[in-house]
Amino acid sequence: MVLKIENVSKVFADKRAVDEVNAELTNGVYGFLGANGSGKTTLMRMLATVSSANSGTITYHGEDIRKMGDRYREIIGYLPQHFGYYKNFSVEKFLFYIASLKGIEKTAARQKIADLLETVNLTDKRKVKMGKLSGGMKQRVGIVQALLNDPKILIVDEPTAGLDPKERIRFRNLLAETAKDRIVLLSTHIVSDIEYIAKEILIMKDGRLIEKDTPQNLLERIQDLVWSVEASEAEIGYYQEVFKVGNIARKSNGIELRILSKEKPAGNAINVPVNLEDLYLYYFDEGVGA
Amino acid sequence: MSVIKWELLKIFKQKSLYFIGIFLFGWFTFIAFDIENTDISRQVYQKWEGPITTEKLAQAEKVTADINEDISAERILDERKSVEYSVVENIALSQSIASQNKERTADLEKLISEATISGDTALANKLELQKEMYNDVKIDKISYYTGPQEALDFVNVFGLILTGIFLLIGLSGIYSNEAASGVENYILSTKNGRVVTMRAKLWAAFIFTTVVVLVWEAFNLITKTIIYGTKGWDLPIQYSSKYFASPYSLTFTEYHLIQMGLHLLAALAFAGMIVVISTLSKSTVISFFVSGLLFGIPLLASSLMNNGTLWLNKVMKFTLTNVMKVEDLFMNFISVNMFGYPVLAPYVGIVVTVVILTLSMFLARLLILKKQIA
Repeated sequence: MVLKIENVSKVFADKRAVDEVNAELTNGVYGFLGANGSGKTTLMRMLATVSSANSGTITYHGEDIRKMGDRYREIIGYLPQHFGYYKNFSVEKFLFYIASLKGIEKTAARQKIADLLETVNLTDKRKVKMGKLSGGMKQRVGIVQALLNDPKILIVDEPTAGLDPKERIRFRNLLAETAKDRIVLLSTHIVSDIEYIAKEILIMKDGRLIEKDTPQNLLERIQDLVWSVEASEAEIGYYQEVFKVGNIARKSNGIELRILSKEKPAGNAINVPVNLEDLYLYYFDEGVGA
Repeated sequence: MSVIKWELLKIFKQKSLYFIGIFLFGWFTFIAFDIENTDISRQVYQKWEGPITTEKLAQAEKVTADINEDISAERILDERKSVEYSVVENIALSQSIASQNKERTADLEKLISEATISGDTALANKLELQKEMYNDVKIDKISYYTGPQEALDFVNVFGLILTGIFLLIGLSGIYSNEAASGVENYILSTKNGRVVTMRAKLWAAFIFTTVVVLVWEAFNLITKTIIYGTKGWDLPIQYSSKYFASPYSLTFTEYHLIQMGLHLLAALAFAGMIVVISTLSKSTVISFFVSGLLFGIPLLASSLMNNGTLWLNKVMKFTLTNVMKVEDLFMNFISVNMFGYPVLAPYVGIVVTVVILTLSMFLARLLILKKQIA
């Protein structure tokens, strides 16, 4: 399975939301990382065919997805950033409705819905009205609807926004489980969402795809740039002004700053192992300092 | 469940439809039954029922004379006599319409000759058709006809209101609700989310429209039958004051069937139009008001433009709302010149409606295929 994005651009009246993006995607989880407004959602929408590119093509097995039309839609599952629903439909009824939109026969749909509700731990909520569910439960219903047709390409846009930490972990695990034998495209600005499950991370900034690599390779590129510095309360301001400061940890023996810098920021600074948060800070440093 | 069934479920699950329905039907029931007992009228008419013979004409003349005498003597007419007076007046009306039609055909004959001489074939064809139609009008029987008359009037007023209100409430949100709720965000990414759903929504809208029209028609016929009985449906429509100058030789039954058919066809086209407007709008309120304006403007315009320009008046008769109202197409002789041949208003109404219906379906498909989430 190959999903290929070639020179794809999307321009709105006053903004180039996606700018000449190129990427080749095969089975596995791809994490699209970027700040708000970086073009992730627009790209996701184009991949889900709810929006179309102004230029460039997206192909699946060499065939333009726009020309494939419903044949392409048949093999995708999409959970948008804003997951709408019918308040008065029960969970089960809502899922049967989506199943009919996906062309799934009733008996098959019944079985699939039961299995997926079991997977996301919502079997006991199947008769509850959608409007009565918590945010996390709604998101779980959202992922169920996306998975109903057993999609070859699963597109999930900011799926963990608004979820509490426990629900986020549950969601992450669910995605990791479902990622076998399919392409999973996960857009987020929360690095922990993709830290352990992404095969590759695609970093988007101002509509452009600026990096696409495995998490290890991306981290390796900045491995010498992350420092831990012990500082006093009075020095924090100085460091924040001069360097990109990530974590500020208050410990019993003082304050420990996590700093991104090409040069050693202080005499007592020591190089520390990097993580994806450092990577995020490296690319999206607005308002952090330096 | 098929996509159509889901779309129907979404339409019929709207509680506002039932609240409005209970209120409107309750109100119309109150209006319908807020009349005096019709038993005496029915009994009196029964005596006169049947073909208008010379004997009946003579008898009517006698009754008229008697009642006029009572009126001159300032004697109060009892209910039975009042009804009898209306019967003989109706017989007189039938005779007057017949003689008016005779005069009209004679006048038309002259005008046809003039048009033929001046070489105006189009006008001659039109007048010829008009003459033939008036010649065909036969008013040769009498019966109690309040039931059919009221049933016909219900379509023009209450039927129009009911169809308009229910279609606006039921269908304005058919697409805009999906946009407002955010469901559209992923529906459009599903296999059946575009063309199949669009077709399903249109079919659901058409089924809903048909149900609305059938429900109020059932209400109309049942209430009229209970109150006025079943007499009079075989009488010519010219007995109804609205249609006294109508050139159409139709009984109340025939006309009512045509009236309902035309109303339903125009209502279907209006439903199609609402679906298109809803596709374009992200807000159900906007969709409701835009569709409401398109429905209401022709009514407002025709009430304000009684003395307006002739061509504009004519054009206004073929708006969807006026076709749905039907009566304007049948009250007088109206035709449109098509390559020298007159096409009667009802046919023009049908053509206009079918064009709008087809355009709506085509536009809905086009819009949904092109639809993007911004």
